[in-house]
Amino acid sequence: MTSAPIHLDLQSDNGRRQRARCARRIGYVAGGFILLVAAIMLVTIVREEQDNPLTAGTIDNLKSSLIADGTNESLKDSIRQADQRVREVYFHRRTFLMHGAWLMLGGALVLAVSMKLAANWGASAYTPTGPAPAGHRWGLAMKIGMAAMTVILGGLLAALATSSSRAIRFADAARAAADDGGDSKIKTSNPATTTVAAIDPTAPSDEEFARNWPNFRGPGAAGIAIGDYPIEWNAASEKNLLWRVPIAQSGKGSPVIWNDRVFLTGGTSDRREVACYDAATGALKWACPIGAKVSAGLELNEATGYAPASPATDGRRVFAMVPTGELAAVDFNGKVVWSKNFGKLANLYGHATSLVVSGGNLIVQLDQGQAKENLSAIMALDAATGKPIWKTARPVGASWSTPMIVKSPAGPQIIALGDPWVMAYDPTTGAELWRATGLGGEVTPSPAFAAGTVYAAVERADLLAIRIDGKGDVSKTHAKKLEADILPDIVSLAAYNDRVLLVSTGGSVTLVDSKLAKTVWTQDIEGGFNASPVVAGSRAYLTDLKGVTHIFDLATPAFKELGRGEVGQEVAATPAMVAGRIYIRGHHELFCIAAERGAK
Amino acid sequence: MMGEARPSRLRIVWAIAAAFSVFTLIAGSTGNALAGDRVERFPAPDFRSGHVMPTLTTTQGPWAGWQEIDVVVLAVFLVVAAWLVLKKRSRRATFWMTVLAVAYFGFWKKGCICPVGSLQNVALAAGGNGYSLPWTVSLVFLLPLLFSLFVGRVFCSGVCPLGAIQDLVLYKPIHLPAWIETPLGMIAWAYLGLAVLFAATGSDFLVCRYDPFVGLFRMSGPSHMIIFGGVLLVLSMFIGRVYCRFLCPYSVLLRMLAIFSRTRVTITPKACVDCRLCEMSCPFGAIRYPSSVEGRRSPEAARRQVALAMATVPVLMIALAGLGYWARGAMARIDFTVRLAEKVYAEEHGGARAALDETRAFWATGQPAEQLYTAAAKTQARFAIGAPLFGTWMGLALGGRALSMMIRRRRTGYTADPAACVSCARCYESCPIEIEVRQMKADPSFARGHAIGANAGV
Repeated sequence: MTSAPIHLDLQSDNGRRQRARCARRIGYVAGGFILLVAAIMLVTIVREEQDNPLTAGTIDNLKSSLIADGTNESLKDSIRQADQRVREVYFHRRTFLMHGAWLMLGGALVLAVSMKLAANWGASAYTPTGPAPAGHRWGLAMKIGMAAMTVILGGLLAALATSSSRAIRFADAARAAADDGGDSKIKTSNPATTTVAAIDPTAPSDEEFARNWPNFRGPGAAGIAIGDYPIEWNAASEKNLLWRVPIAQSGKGSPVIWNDRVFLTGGTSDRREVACYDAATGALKWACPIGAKVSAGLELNEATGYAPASPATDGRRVFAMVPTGELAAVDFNGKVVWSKNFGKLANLYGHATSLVVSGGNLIVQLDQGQAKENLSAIMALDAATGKPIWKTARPVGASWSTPMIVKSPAGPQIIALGDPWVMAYDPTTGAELWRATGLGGEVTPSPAFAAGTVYAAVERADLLAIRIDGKGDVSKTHAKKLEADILPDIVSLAAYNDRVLLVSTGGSVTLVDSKLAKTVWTQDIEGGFNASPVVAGSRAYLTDLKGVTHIFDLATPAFKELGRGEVGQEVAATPAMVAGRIYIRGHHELFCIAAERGAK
Repeated sequence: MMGEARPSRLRIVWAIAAAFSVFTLIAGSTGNALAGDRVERFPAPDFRSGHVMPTLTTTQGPWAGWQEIDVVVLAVFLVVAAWLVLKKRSRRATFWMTVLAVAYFGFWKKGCICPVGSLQNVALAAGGNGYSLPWTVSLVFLLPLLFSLFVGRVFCSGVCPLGAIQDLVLYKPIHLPAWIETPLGMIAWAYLGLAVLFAATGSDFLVCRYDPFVGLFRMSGPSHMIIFGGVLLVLSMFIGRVYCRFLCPYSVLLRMLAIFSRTRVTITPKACVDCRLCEMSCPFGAIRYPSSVEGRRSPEAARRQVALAMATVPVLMIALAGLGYWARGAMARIDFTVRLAEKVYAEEHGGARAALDETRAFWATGQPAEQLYTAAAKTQARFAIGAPLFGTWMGLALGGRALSMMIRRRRTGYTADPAACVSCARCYESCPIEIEVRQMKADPSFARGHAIGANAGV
């Protein structure tokens, strides 16, 4: 183990050489052993890798099949078996590699010791080689060497400096986030400094939006459908039933339609998603997960669920927000384009306000907590990028109603409800246009609009009729309170000319004439309601919790049921009505009703 | 004998190099697989099958008393190593200390405690990160430095497992010329600066993350580090202690203190006979020539050179400090908070293709992005101070190193450079004077027939 000896005993020289040769041979054997173990390990790893169901995509394929055919027990068994095999492979490899590593370490130890001994026994004595070459350490070569090292280190710093130009200055970002919604104290954005989204000339026109069902309750979230629709159907007998398909994930969100696509949100504590179905056949095209896999401690009550809000689309992307505070934009091929996360939202039942699209922007109403906490805001995001366009704080607590877009002679307005305000905003800048007080409690029903008047109501408060041409606080100038037999607690309002339809969860339906300030009629319907009414012409389509849609006329002086449709299962979501077809989300199936399909 | 041995040794070298390369590659895969067990657990089934998941348990840490015992053992190792190298002057005993250091501090203690890594604990505490430095860690950091200050780098010879394992695999050392060794040695100065910067800002423990041999000691670790460690070991067969000489940040501190040591390795117990055998035996390039060999320059030329260098040092410090300041943004990315904030920012502003596991985990905490940005901004602000300081340090180190080589030192005979010498005691065995002294001690009759140094021509 010592360094080369100076005085070798010549008599033992042969013995040392023999010992060195022997040690070398042992070293060769150890080296060969290491190579052999290494080769065996490599071959095993490669073979197991090829046979691994996880990397081979077998499980993914099986899971994809299961999404389309959720009741296939044999498919589930196949997944379980594949999963079991993955685990067995993993733990087998782990044990195998551990044994191999120990064998190689032992081999390396023998190799190192034998080669060390061979080197020592085979070494010859150092012999003097004469005087050292004269010269100073700080010679030309050293100068070049040190200069090169200085250049290398300086160059590395310069390279880092170059890439630093792309670094985000988080001191600025933190300030921007405080204005943007990350802060609990949300500030009102200055309309003069709001960002303006780039105008895309190829974006869908207003007419295209009107022909589709881009968000909850259709264009402008008004609850008004254009066209003629069947007044009778029956899923059991398939009367006027175009198709019915199982829904991948449960949820309360309404269907959203764009041309040949139907979008639905759904979710559980493990997965939230937006799914796309073929409007012609009902076939599932894709399902895209929204946000994190695990909802990290967020416990929602059963009534709300993990996907209570409806998606929205701008004709190119579909947007979905879930109560975990996660929002994603997904293209029509099912790929996430951008995503945001507003963090855990302060909402007793879970955030359920749906998204709406207005002029290329996505409108997000984010009401949270108590009014005094200043947590609530409404904002517009660039639909293409998710970039904030504007954000305006709202002096309200948590609410669950969805904003609507109305058209006034001065331009469009966003109407958003909260406790106690009905408020209007400029969709371009987010500036508040007017507000009227009169609401209270848990504001859940969304407003209705007809003939220049916004209607808003909530249980244990008032039914308000507000003209939209005011400015500032219009509570005393443009708003009037109307008497009504019942007030809604969940179900949104619907309006037809001067008449406004109010529906309670318990099943009371009342029609109020705002001009005459009196109730036109009141009718109790068994079954109870969660879904909101949709008005097509003078007809109202109102689906109860049992899945029965009641069709009645809003123009007549008395309640008159025109027809009835049944899907035979619970319905809590508002139907989507486009181009003569009615899309109804049942508890576990999606139905498409159309007059072109006659009774069998 | 040598003529016969050379071809065969060449084959051995290639065989060993190939074997180690394969070993490191396989060990890398192995380590990766085993590390996966610790870092990235196998996912739980994503369907419900009725299987009850076992309750998560936390492994208990080692007994608290081990910390004190470790400090005592470290002190005992240092004392014994110093005694063996300086008093006993025994290469054989020092070799066995090296074996013991690898066995105990390496494989038994699995690389912890580690004075090399402890410098980061000190920097973390000094950086005001709310970290209170335990007294045991202070001693782990200070003891080798104190020994270096008084008796040279005995820590490197018989205590540090990182150096020891490289020393054990040393097979056929190549003597690197000083103009290669000295500039390469500056990497360790840069590494020290970065390690202190990252630890003081609370960003990362760079030295631990990139410890090349801890994966071997633990039979587990990221594959790239196992491969890196294996490559260093293969290199160490031919270039003595690659990590110690060119990378180890702690060695920079040991070097600086060892210069002031009064009791240190002295090659020959008597007058040097200038045989250069010690120079040949030292695999670490730590032997310095006598002044007479280095030659003389005119005092005026020497003064001019030193004055120029002294003027250059501040310029270098300012230039590198400036570059450091401009590089602060990129350097701050070593910090996890800054990297996470960048990803969250990208997601918020449409620059991310899809959500990542870490951003999902962040959002799941319910923490607003602004808080994350504020924390990242604080770290960036620290780097705005630390990065230029790092540049200043490097300017000082490069300039100071050059300056130190310009200054002529008076040496009579061949001596071990206290900064570079790792106290391995190899030079003792090659010195004819040392051997004569030993023989005379062992056999007084030998002394009567020989005057010391008579065999200077051996």
